This record gives sequence, C-alpha cells and structure tokens, in this order.
Amino acid sequence: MTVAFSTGRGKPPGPASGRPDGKLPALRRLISNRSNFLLRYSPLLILALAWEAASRLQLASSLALPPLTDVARAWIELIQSGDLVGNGLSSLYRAGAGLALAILVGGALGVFMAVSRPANAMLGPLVELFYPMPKSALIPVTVLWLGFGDGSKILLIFLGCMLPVTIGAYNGARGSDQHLLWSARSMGARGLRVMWDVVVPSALPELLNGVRTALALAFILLVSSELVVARQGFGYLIGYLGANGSYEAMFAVVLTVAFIGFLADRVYQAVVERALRWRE
Amino acid sequence: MRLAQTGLAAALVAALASALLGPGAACAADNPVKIRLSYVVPIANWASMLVEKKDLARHLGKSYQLEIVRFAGTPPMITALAAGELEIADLTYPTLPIAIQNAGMDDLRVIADEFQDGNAGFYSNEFMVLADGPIKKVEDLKGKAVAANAAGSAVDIAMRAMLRKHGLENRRDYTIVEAPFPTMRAMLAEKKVDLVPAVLPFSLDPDLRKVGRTLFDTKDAVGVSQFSMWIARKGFIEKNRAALTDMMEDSLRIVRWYLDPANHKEAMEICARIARQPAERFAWVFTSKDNYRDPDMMPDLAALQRNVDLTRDLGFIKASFDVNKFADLSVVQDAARRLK
Amino acid sequence: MARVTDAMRRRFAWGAARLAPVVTLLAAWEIFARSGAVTPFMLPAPSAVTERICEDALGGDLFVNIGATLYRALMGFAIAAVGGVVLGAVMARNALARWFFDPIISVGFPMPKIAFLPVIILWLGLYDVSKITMVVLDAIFPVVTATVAGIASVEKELLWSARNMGAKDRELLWQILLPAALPQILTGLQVALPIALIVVVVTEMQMGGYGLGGAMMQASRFANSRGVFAGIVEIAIIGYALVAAMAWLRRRLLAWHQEGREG
Repeated sequence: MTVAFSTGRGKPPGPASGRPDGKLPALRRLISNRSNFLLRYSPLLILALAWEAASRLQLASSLALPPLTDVARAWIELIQSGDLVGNGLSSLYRAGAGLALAILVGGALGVFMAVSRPANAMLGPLVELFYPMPKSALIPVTVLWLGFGDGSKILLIFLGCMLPVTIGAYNGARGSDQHLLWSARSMGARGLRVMWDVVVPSALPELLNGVRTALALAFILLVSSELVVARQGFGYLIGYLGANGSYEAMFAVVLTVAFIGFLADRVYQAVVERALRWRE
Repeated sequence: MRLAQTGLAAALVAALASALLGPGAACAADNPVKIRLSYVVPIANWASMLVEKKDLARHLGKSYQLEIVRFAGTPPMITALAAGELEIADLTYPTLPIAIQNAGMDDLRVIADEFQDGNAGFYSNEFMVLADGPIKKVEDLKGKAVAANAAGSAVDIAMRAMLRKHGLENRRDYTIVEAPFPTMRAMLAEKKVDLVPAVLPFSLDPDLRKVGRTLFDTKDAVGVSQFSMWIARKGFIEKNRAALTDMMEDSLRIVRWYLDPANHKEAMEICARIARQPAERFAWVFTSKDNYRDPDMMPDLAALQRNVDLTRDLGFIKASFDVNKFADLSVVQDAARRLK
Repeated sequence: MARVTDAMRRRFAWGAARLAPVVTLLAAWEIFARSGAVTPFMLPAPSAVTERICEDALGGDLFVNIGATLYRALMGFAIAAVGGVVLGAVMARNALARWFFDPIISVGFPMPKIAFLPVIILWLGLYDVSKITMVVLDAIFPVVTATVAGIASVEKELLWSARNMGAKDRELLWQILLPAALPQILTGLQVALPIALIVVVVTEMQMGGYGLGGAMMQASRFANSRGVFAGIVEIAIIGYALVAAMAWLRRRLLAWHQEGREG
C-alpha cells in the first residue's frame, strides 16, 4: 500500500510491519491500475466532500471558505483565461532555481560540516542564524542587492529550503560508519573521493528525506515571497485575488499550488525509489 | 547507486545552469524611460486600470515604458522607492508623512491624485455595526473590539479620529483588531468585533447590508480626505520630466475615458474581467457611488494638509509640515494643458 | 590535570571559532551601513539596532513580545511534535491510517496554509488559539514524514529477529521501532522547530497584537527600520538558541548511536 515514505536506511523500502505489500514503484502502479488509483486517493475525495459540506452547511462563513464547487468553477475560468499557466510558469522557475541551489549548496554544506570541524565552526552559526527567520521579513535586506525581481525571490526560496537539506546531509553523514571511513582512508582514498564513495552514500537516506521536505517548503516559500511584491506568479495571483475578495479564485490558486506540490512529491518519491534500488 | 548519484548531480547542475542563464538576459534598449507604478487594490488603484486601456496611451512604448507592480501594502513601497526599484508609488495620506519623516525621504513629491473621500455627491467609506446589535451610538463602543485593515492606515485613522471625538481612546477604551477588508462582513456577522470599516466594493455586499447598519462614515470623521495619491522622487521628476509628462498625458486621457458616462458599460466589463466577477457587480465604478476621482488628477492639497495634521494629532508622526513643499503638480498641469 | 585544561582550552577555542563568522558578519554590516552607500532607512547600522533592542528591553516590551511569541511557537511545536510522531507511528503500523493520511500529507505539506488564516480566525478567534493552530498546521508535516520514513527504514532482519524472540507488537514499537527511527524523527523535529518560529511570526505579522511579528509589522508600517531590523535580530537570536537547544537534545538522546560519538 505504501511507497510514499520510503527513504529507507540501507534496505529497500518495506512496510514496517513486514507485510509483503508495496513492491512496485508508485508511478508505475499509479498508471497501471486505475481502480487502485481511485481507492488510493479517495481520502482526498472525502476531504473535498467535508470542505463542500462545511461551507454549504454554513459551518464556515462561505465568505472565508467558499464551496469547493465554486472554487472548481473559478479554477476553470483561470485556466481558460491563461492566467494560471502564465503565472505558474514564472513561479515554477523561481521555485526550481531556489530549490536546485538549496539542494546543491545545502547538501554540500551539510556533508562538509559533518566531516570537517572547521567548516562546521565557520558555517554552522550562519546557517543556524538565517534559517529560523521569516523569509518575508528579509525582503527589505535582499532588495538592497537583488532588487524586487526574480533574484530576491530565488534567494529567499534558497535560504528557506537549504536547512532541511543541510541538516539531513549533516545528520546522515555524521551517522556514517567510522570504520568504513577509516578503511577507505587506509586504502589510500583521499578527500573528495572518500566523501563521494563513503560519506555521501551513507548520508543519502536522510539527505533524500531532507530534499523531500525542501521540495514541499519550496512551494510554500514561493507563495510567501511573491505575496509581498510581484508582477506575476502564484503568490501574486493569491494576493491580488485576495485583495479583491475573489476568494473562490484565490483558493483555486492555493489548491493548484498544493496539487503541483503533491505531484512533485509523488514523482520525487518514485524517482528516489528507483534510484535506491540500484544500491542492492 | 553510483549511477543514481551521478544522475542526481547531473540533473542538479543542469537545473542550476538553466536557472541562472534563463531569463533576465533580455535587456531592452534604454530609449523609453522605464516607469514602474505600484498598486495594492485592483480597480480602486489607477495602475490596474491604465494597462487595460493601453490603446489610449499614445506615448507608451515611445517615450516611456510602463510596468505595474502589485504590492501587499505600503511599507514595501517605501522601501522600493528608496532602493530605486519603483518610480511612482500610490501612497495614502498617513504613509506619505511616515515616508518623509521616518524614512527620511524628503525628496518625495505628490504628483497626482488617485482618489479622494467625502467630496460632496460622492461615496464616503462607511463604518458599520450589527443592525440589531447593542451599539446604537459611537459611545457604546467603550470596552469593545473594533476592526481595521491595518493600524495606521487611512481607514484606521478616520476611525480613531471619530472615536476620539466621542471621548474614546485606543487601548484605554477599545481594542483594534486587524483583518483583511474582504473578511469584514464575517467578522461583524460572527460577532468577533463590534465595528467594521466597509470600503468599496465590499460595502455594497448585499449580505453585509442585511446584517449591518452604518454608524458613521469617513466624511463624518475627518471631512474630505486626500485618500490616495501618486508619489515620485524629486530627482526622477527633474531628470525625466518630458517622459513623465507624456505618461501623465496618457494617464489623464485614460482616466477621463473611464470617468465618461458614455463608456460606463465597457468600464464595468473591464472591472469584471480583472476582478473575475460578474459585470453587474460593478455598476458603481466611476460614478457618484464611487469615491471621488479628479478628472484632472489634481490632488486636494488643502484636504491633505488637514489629513497630515490629523495624523500628527493621533500620534502617528512627530510633527506636521507644509504639504505644498512636498508637492510638484507642474507635470500633471502641463499634461492637462496639452489635452485642452 | 594538564589534560583537562587542554581539553577545556580546545573547547574554548572552538567556541571562539564559532563566534568568528557571526562577528565578521556584524562588522561587515556595520561598515557597510556607515559607508554612506545606503541610507539608515534602507539598512540601519547594527549599533543603532542594538540600541533599539536595549530600549525595548528597558521598557519591558521586548520581554512581553518574546514571551508571547515563544509561548505560541513552543506550544504549537509541542503539539505538532507529539501529534506528528503519533500520527507517523500509526501510519507506519496501520494500513488503514496510512491509506487515509498518506495522500492528505502529500497535498497538505506544500499547501500555502496562510491562505486559510481568515477561516481559522473565524473559527478559533483572534487570539492565541488561532496562531497556535497555524503553527501546528505547518510544523506537523516534517515530523510525520520523518517518523514514517524512520520507521519504514528499520531493517527487516531486526524486526524478524525481534519477532522470533517473541516480541509483542507494543514492545516492538517501543523497544525496536521508535528507538531505531529516533535519529530520523529528531531530524524531523529539527526541521519543524524553525518552521514553528517562522509561522508564528508570519501569523503575528498578519494579525497584529503582541508578539515579535506584530511589533515588526508595526515598525515596518511606520517606516521604522531600526524596529524592523531589531525584530529580525531578535528572531535570529531566539531561533539560534532554539536550534542549538534542539541539536544538544539530539546529541543527548543519541549518545548510544553511531553519530553520537565525536568524530
């Protein structure tokens, strides 16, 4: 039943209880078995019905939480007018660039901090200082160097996504087997070679879960970075429609972001699972 | 495993390269002056409407380029002005003195009107209570919670001024709670607060009219107010006077087109399109049911002076000043003369 | 005796080394702010910001705001931590729970939940409950995914041998699964804690009132850069302390584990 959270340490993903299910990669099963697909995602349907009911039965003011059917109608209009696609592309570019930077820099940083004490002492405090800051509060600072364009938004997404990757890589790499390290060193492997052959593989499971967290955060951050100032993007649309009181359309955009994040998560899980199978 | 790692690294490098080399390289020839104009609320702020009538902008693309940028509020606009990332900001009467005094930007100049409130024969923002609720007069608000969109906003100042007239002071006698305008009806209906501001278009919501009753309006509180206006920096005006005059001429042409009753139907359709709502909801736009918008885009500096003094009286700025020193209406006047 | 002082000296030296980058950053900031390249509105000098923080501290506002923010953040974090581990463990052990929550977690995690703030306010009111709920809604996800991933990655051989030795389900969970998953769970908590702080500040910025976020928003509306940067610095210091405390807790709890040893 589950492959969703399979970033196994050392072994291919298997259900914890030992029941022999979940052998196929998520993506393939998703395509091959339609009824299974429906069954699998029916909880979302239940949630959608609960939403519709909450708003139709006036449990929540329909002003703040419009019925899901109205949201769907607004979504179709947004697609037809082309607004969603145009704004989406510019948002996804920012999120992708920020996330790529975060994975590359954050992963390298985490591994280096784990193997080198000076690196840890130099970089650790800066990472720890910048991470817990609300990124939208940093906008006045980033604007000084990068203006209000793509640059400042990519920087904010990068800063926000980096720590999960860094922490994952750092904790994973620190957990790597010292004996393995020593034996690799004794066999003459040096520096980067050791890192790539010994430290990175053992850091990989936690690193990959960190990337998964970063992936989800990227979508939240891209919205919050675009909410403050923007000409386009999902966050711009959300702010603009919210200021208008067009909450149906605003929630259509919010759900679109969530759905793209969901798709990205599923694809990522499938890819990771494929990749980890090479280990055997 | 090795394959996976190499693949991961390669994919990342590729993503990074495309990210860095992607857009941003397209730098147009810098002949036309780039003018970035801010807005917060679609329809109410001219910027969102100007770009919908580009066909009337004769100089657009020739002497100037117009870029409209949405801001979530005025604070980032002040930062943007200071960083040279914005040429024209639409500030309200409390944020102008705040930018001049607290941000130290004494080169800011009022260059045009956006909209005013409380002019005879036009709409004035309302403040509403529950129709069948306990609040019958302003004094009844003692000990209650009232809603504002943001502390220190023009709406908030008008509300505080009215309550002060009736002997009530913030924190001592009542609490201010912040909420976005679109949720005000629910805040009132669900009794989270006892007084809400109702601004266009939310004040026209039939459901709000059903539950609510107008206790007072902005005109009762502060008289005429120069609610929102266009602001530019002195250096920019001097350096780009010709382009700015062209831009203002185009803006005036578009503003007058919108204000012309003959175009009302088309204007309603434009509003419907940008707000993604049915056109019949916009019967009020640019009529006497709307806030006053000057057809010459001339701000009311006398009203602005009173508004700034009031902002000081309520303690939001330290000292008042002569607003005439911070206005440069020559551009909008030159532009208006051309259209005669 | 000599060895003890040596160790102490070394520890002190590393402490100083950790301070160096922060001091460098502050110095660079001070120099840049005073260079005249930017106005004090765009970037106030750290000395001016420190002055402002001291004023707030003397006036007592600082502690009221820090208290309010910390209370909301930690309360939300605690609920998210307990709820997240329980939910994660249940999902890892129970197919029905997994079926129900798995897609909801995947959709909910990347959702910009701040858009639901108006609904939450209308349901839960204007004060702490709404803010804490927002924190839980954001901070619970990394805990759940880390717990599920941690439990799922416990090696099968370990489970089988425990089973063969007659371990019951409950014992299995408490004595094998959770301890083995602890490193990953702690990683999830390490990620969730700063998220809790960020969300509470952002929510306070939206809703106003007491708290560091409300104070920052207020300062920003009045173009008071010193106040804004004071907020940024205060949040950075609090966040740093929280992150450091969490890392310390991790070392304590994982003393038995591979990574717990000094490398």
